[in-house]
Amino acid sequence: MLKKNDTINFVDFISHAKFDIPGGIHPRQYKSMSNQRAITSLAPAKEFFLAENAKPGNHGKRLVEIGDRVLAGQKIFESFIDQIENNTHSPYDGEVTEITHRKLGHASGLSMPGICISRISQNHTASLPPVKNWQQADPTDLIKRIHEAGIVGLGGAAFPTHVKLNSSEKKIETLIINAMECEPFITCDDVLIRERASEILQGSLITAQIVGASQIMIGIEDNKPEATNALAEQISKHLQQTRENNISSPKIQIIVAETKYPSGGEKQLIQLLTGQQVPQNKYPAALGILVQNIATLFAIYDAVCNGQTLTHRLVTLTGNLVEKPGNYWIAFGTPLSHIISKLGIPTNKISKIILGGPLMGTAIDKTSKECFSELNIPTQKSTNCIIFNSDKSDIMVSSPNDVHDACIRCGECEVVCPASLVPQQLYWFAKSEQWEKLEQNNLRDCIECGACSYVCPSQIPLVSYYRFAKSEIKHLKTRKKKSELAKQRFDNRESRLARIKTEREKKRKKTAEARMLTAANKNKDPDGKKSAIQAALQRVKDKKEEQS
Amino acid sequence: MKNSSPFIHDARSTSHIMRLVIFALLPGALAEIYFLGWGVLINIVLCSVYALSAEAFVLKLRDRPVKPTLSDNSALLTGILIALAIPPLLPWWMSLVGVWFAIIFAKQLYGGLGFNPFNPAMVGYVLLLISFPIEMTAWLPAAELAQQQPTLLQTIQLNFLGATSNGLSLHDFRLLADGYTMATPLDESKTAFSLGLMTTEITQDPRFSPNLSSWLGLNISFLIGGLYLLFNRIIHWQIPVSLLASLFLCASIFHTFDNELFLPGWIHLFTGATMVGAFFIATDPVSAATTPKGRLIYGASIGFFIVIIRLFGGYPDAVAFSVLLLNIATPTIDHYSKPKVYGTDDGGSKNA
Amino acid sequence: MEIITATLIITLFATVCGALLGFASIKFRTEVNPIVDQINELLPQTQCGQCGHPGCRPYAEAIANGEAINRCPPGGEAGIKALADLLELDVIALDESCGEEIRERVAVIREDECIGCTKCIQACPVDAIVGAAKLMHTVIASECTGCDLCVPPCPVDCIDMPFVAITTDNWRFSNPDHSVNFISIKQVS
Repeated sequence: MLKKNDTINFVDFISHAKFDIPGGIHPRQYKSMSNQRAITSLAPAKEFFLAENAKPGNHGKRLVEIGDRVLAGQKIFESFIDQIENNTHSPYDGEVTEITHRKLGHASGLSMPGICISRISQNHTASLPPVKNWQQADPTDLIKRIHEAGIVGLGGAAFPTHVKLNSSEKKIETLIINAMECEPFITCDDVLIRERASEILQGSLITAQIVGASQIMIGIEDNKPEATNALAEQISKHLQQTRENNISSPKIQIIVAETKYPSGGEKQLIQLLTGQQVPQNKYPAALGILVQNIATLFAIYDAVCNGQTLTHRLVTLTGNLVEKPGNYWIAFGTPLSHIISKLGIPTNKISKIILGGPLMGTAIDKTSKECFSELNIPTQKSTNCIIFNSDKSDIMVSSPNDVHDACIRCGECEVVCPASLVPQQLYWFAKSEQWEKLEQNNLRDCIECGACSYVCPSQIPLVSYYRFAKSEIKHLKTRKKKSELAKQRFDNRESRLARIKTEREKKRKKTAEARMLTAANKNKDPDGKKSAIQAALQRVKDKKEEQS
Repeated sequence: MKNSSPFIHDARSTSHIMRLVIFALLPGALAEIYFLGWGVLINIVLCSVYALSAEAFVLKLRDRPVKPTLSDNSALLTGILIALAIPPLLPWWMSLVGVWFAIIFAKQLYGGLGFNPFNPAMVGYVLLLISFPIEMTAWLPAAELAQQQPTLLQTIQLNFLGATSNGLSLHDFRLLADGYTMATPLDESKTAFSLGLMTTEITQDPRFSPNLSSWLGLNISFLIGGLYLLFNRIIHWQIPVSLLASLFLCASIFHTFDNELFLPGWIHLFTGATMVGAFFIATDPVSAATTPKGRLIYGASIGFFIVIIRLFGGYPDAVAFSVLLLNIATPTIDHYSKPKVYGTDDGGSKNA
Repeated sequence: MEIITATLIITLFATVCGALLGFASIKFRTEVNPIVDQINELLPQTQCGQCGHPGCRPYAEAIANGEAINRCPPGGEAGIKALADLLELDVIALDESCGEEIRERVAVIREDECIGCTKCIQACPVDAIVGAAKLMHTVIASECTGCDLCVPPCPVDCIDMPFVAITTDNWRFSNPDHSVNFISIKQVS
């Protein structure tokens, strides 16, 4: 609930959004549960699990072995700056105890490789020297620093930031800062802005300088007046400073948009703030736009100005089982069991834990055999929120025997789709496995926001169908490629074998002919004298010709 | 994979929506009982029973769970719509045939709710209309005009036995004070036009007005129900608005062209099955177009066809036929009215 | 008299139509792959021989001559469906006598036991095994199609055929109609 005197103070650089996104939903927000409290730290766990690849495809090289002592902020997994990978650092001093696999809460339920570190002390020291005077620094050096610090997009996608900043498709003119946080329950960005607006602004200016952007647009929902005012205050100070000292600064504006999900999606935010649409199969860089989450910008500031490697982040811990829901500063790799015990959550009442938000996160359900107090799934760079629910919460508790109703073609899903797709058609095609039709109907443009499933009166898990269809299409494409390659190799092998065969055949023929010739000659000249004399005469003749 | 996100949900379920639609039919149903007698109530009860029994029967044959499917209220809705569309004293076995055909052939044989290409209620109605044309056009006159109105007991007797205990038949109740057999205003005017009468003569006939006003009252009651659905966002505005606008426009164009040969637009708007068709029948989500643009085309085309068939076709009312015609066109309409996807220049269909 | 006129008109009409069609069939002809090539494109190219033919192309040729389309286990249900679509035949179940549709496998040589005889290298239809006489042999996993042809020739039986490991890179979401997935929190060893 908003307090009466917390209205946005509209100054000249704050305005309402001029554009809108199609569709969208207005679910109940549940934000006031966790955004009334200041940032709290959580006592660190005794053991951490750092995953080797935070997301499928981001493979880092392990630098430590079992028994190694590591320091807080020390690099554990290394990546190449020109790959879509990122560095990972240890959050505390400790010792490497295990190199093993663990479930990370990925939808597949698969275990992924990583290392366990047993914490020795709580010193959380920076491991890199702060960059003095970043305003004069070379952008390449700053990007190197961002790569070194292991910074990834902290809005939930965890894409390596240095790769995004290096995107050279077109000159970036606009830096859009994503302060929307449109998903229910999540308030970590809101609270971070309220308490760290100055650092976030610094991070934005650093990023704008790296890419050479001439304007910064901050997109924020209208349910965050405190955060908006905090940012506005910092921006005013900054503008005053630049005016007094006569230094140039990119144009900064705050754009307040109506609270609607999913206006915080990258493509949707660009449409909301600029009215432009990212062309299909291209990135925002094609429009000269770069989008960054505010938490990422804070991390960039921390890395550049304080030399801090990315080891912690603000996580919203909420849900009807949390006594003191709020935002906690948590190290990556913290096992859920530690959070459960530190928050005093009664494990026998947990029926569902959601990593992320209720519309796009992944859930861990209670099954009859499992014990939540031993749950060692670790938090990761992409974990921005954890929701602990009991049976009595509003969050859907699904069971394996859930059967949904048939689709009645009501079209509600189409009304709310932010990408202007026809989810109903995609559902029918996915059900009947018509992959070509799915591609023609732009399945690839689905951002899996869940708005369609949210409104479906028949409670059809639409997004599950799209995820299934997307992975099937990808699988079939991979298979086709593989079979084409196999065919090529087979054909090459066949032609090689055929070639060897013909050569052998030729050779055989040649020797057979030669043999026949000598046999024939022998008949005419049984002792071989005649042919020897002839051969000698021939040799003398050839020599004479050569010399002349 | 139910475990996949999202994990929160908007409250309305299919059965809830269907229930609200049935609830919205209440004003219209009550008005119809008031104007046309107890027969309507008997039909509603009978057709509901027929519909639910038909669905349960087929589900048992298909080995599907009966209770969850019946409780989605869609069969009940179909039964009630047919009950409101047929004349009040239609024999019980005819309504049985109609409802059973609608549920079994037009709905369950295609796969059940969500799979039928045609509106089941309209399929049942058209089957009855074509098979039993006389009984299906035997409407009772308005209360104030009738020589006598059947009581509840007499209605039951007429429905099941064909005659009352004192030997009266359906025909007797259709008589007006002067011995004239009354029909619906549309039916009346069609017959009159074919006899060469002009609009003014028809509308000035003392028997026409009270009959018309009862059908007016009926349509307004359905309109009230329809507006309730609209404001509660159960149906989308595109179909009713485009249907009524197109119907009014086409009828008015013809009326302006020759106001003695064609009835005025507002009469077409408020008589026959116009309102119930616009808000309850054409909006059946399963068989209607789904995209917003598609819905506008769909509704407008139905309105157009209603007028054309009413004016130039063989039947006095045309809502059922128009709806069924457009049901055939729905897939094509949907295909060509897809919205422009984010990031594409066209509908994106060129990019594979 | 009228009959003759009618016959002439119809004949003329038929001639004109025939000429137009003939013209169209030449002028607007599109180059289409011969059917055998099209069929071969749809086969998985493992060259395993489970269909009873020595490779995928011979099977494609057999299909073009009327052989059943359900004899390819590596192609599986999806393969049969694709062939059925191309040839406008009915989709039929996989012929169990040819094998069953199983998860993809990859050959792995137990290098400690390899004697360097090159028999497996000669057997592999896609040259996925690297090695030379009296030297170590190993399978290039990314090129291996799991066809199994290397296993019989090996005199010391040192080739395993494990399933391809499922990682988050190649894991597939299951069809919501067929199953429900849960993340069980018990650790899998």
